[in-house]
Amino acid sequence: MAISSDLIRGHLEVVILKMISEKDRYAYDLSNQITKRSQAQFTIKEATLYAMVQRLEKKGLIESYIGTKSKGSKRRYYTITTLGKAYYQERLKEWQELKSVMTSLLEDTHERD
Amino acid sequence: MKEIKQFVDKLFKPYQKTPETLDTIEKLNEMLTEKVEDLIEQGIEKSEAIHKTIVEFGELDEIYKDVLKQEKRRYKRQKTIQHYRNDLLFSSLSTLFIIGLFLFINLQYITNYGLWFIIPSIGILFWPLSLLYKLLNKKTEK
Repeated sequence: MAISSDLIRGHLEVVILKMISEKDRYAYDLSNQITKRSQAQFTIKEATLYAMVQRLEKKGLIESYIGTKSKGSKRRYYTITTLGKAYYQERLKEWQELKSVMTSLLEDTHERD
Repeated sequence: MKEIKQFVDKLFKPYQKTPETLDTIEKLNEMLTEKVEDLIEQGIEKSEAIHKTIVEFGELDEIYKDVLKQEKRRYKRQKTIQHYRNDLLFSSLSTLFIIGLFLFINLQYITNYGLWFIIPSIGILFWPLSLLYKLLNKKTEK
């Protein structure tokens, strides 16, 4: 089942930060990774991706530079800042908490009153 | 890449060309061109790669639309302020002229009531004053 973009929107920031924290990436690489890792259940449109990246850059969580790819073509690479790393850890913790809350709320593991 | 540039330009046609928007246009151009190049490297034909990139772009995202709307609002506000400034300038000059006229009549023709010109002058001063009030009000509101 494909995930609707409304559902995932609030969590895209942390996803993008994670991928950039692994290594410097350029935009299309990011969108490829998202498709691949979600087993094509979620694809990010370039319009959305651009807005996210722009917002992260404005907040000072990532920075960009022009680099060259293996075959010599130019790409704008994004790299995570120290602030970005700290922010990523925070958001990751937040997500883990949310996940456990949602699990306890929606799954029938408790006895009903 | 000409096709990509045309596509991005068209997307931004309805919006004001502020420095921020121009930067966005440039960056989007760059980003989409990168994608087309990657697709070509993967062995997809150029025209198909461009088509695929444009189709997969989506719409100017909600998030981004908000930013553009804000910019539009700011631009509109600047215009209104400029408008009020012109009004204020016009009313001030007119007021000076009319007060001068009263003073002239007072001193030259109707001299037996003292300095009566002050009374209509105070009245007419409310014209530029109310405009000044409007301008300052607009400037302080966010």
